[in-house]
Amino acid sequence: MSRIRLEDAFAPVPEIVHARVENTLKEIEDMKTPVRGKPRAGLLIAAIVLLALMGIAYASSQLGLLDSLLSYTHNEPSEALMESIVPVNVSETLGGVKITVTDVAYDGDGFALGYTCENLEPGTLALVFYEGTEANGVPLVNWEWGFDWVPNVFQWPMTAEGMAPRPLKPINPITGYRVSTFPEDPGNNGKWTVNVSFVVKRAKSTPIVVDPDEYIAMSNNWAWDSETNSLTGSAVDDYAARLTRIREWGIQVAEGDERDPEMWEERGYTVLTSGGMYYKKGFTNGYGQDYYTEGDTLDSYALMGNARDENAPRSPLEAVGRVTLTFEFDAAAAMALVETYEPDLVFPLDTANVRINRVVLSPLATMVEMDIEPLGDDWSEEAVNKLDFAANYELTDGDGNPLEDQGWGMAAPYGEIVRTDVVPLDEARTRWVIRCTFRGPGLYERPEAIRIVMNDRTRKMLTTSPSGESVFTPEQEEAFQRRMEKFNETVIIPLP
Amino acid sequence: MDEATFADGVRRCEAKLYRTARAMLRSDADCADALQEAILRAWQRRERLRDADRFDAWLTRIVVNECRDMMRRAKRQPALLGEAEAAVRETPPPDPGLRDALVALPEKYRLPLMLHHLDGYGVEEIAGILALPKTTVKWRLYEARQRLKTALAEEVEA
Repeated sequence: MSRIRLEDAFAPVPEIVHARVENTLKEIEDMKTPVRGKPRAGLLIAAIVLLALMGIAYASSQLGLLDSLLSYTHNEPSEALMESIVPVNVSETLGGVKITVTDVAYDGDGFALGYTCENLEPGTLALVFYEGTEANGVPLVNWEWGFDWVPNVFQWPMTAEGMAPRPLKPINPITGYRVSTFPEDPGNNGKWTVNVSFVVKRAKSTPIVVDPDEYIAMSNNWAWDSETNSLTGSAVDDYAARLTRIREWGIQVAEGDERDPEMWEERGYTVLTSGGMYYKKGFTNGYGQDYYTEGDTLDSYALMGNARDENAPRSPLEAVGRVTLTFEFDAAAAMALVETYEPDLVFPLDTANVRINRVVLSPLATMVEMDIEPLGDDWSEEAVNKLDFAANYELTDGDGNPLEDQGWGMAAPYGEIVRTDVVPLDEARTRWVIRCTFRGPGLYERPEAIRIVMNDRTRKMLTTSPSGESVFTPEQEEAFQRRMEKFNETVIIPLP
Repeated sequence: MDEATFADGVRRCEAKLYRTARAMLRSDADCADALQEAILRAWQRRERLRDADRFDAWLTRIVVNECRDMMRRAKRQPALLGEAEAAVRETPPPDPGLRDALVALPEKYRLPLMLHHLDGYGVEEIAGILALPKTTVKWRLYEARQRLKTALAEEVEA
């Protein structure tokens, strides 16, 4: 390789990048107390994927769906939220693992499912993979991705100050929940037969728990079978986190490459079994639920063509089998507490109009369905595609106060656009709009109005160099600023 | 780590970070986004960096993570580039053929190759940055070199 100058494959750092780096450093300089921006939309509901069920029994309360939901919305349940959760309590046991669907809730869009997994064989280890849910044959999917990868979640209590410490103990039973949607109405007038599937695997060998008080751990790193395809666990930067911090988050498990145990140990893994299973503590990044890359694992399993009930070569796991829990659910009745309004309001922005079609207040979520319409007469698909609408939304009350100031948990004010589609309004396909749905957490108290603030910090910073001069031509700058104006607009939707 | 040390560290490895991001993302505008987010993220978590000597690798890892995050987000959002951003022309590299050959490599080969031969990271450091076993990194480096060699030979022949 020495004869090839690899650096020649890259241009010098372009001004646009250098300017952003300098601006970012300036932003840091300006931060008296650095505070992370809003958690990434779309990742609020993403969390830990692999459920590790340690065989050593430890007492743990069975929290169920209600508490799981509260962990990412607010701290106290509203009466409506409590009422909207429908108990199910259907269990199946396979391979010494008892899986229970505890409760569900539905608001016409989101379907929340709570479940627990309990290892009935102390001293052994099992992994449970959530596989999927369907109602009347319609599979549950994640809003944005179009397929169901929203991972299982360890329950963790959240306080207004952040996360509460967890004991350094394996959790058994463990509680998971998922909130996703159906791509189409499962039909049958809301009378649904729901099937929830899990795959159970067990370790081939007896686990040995090594649990130092403190050590430096790679907090997110996994790979298996490096000879074929290594699973790259993307991401996590806090590899230097102390176990004392990591221990707050339960246990996470990875299938390791058996051939190089020293490597795992060298890198700070806690080796919990003698049979090639390498375990690490679960983690969080300390900034809320904005970085849960474990979602990639199951996703990658699927992408690699390995069904989840099959084992990778030399895997220390054995597939025990698949469990499907079935129950009947009355979706129509579950929606009794959902309020829906169709205000048909239109708010003019600089480059588009925003039409509010529908506002839905449910115990689970606050939803605003809106159309972004072009200005002028050209409503062609092409014209609509030129409208940039990649903003995040912050939920505030009617007076513009962020809802987090009203005693909500840290994640509460944040919502996300869960669907964005360019759709025709007429059969002739001459008039198009961008149709999107904002979905935020359910409101603890019913507001008098919903205020949506549109902004986009990242893109705005693109416009200036360190000296404050634009990196664009005047025409480009003008066009850019024009586009940016709408991100600082607010719309207020009064509620009856 | 104080702000000045942090800023110096970022500036020192800016070119490395850009190349890493550019090896994963399709445009300089995306690279700028990724670097910004990564720098902010690193600053907020700077207390977790136990060994200041590993600052470059630590920050590179965060950049890699951010790029992957962006790639995932890009899958679920339509590409709606603003006209101004799209209009920013990107400077061609000195050797566009080499760039093309590199771009043609799958990312899993391209990144270790760059990190090792361009940025000077050792196998163990790359394993840390990319969250891979050392054995995998070694194998990918070997494979990357073979593939790049083949690609460049084909280019010369063509």
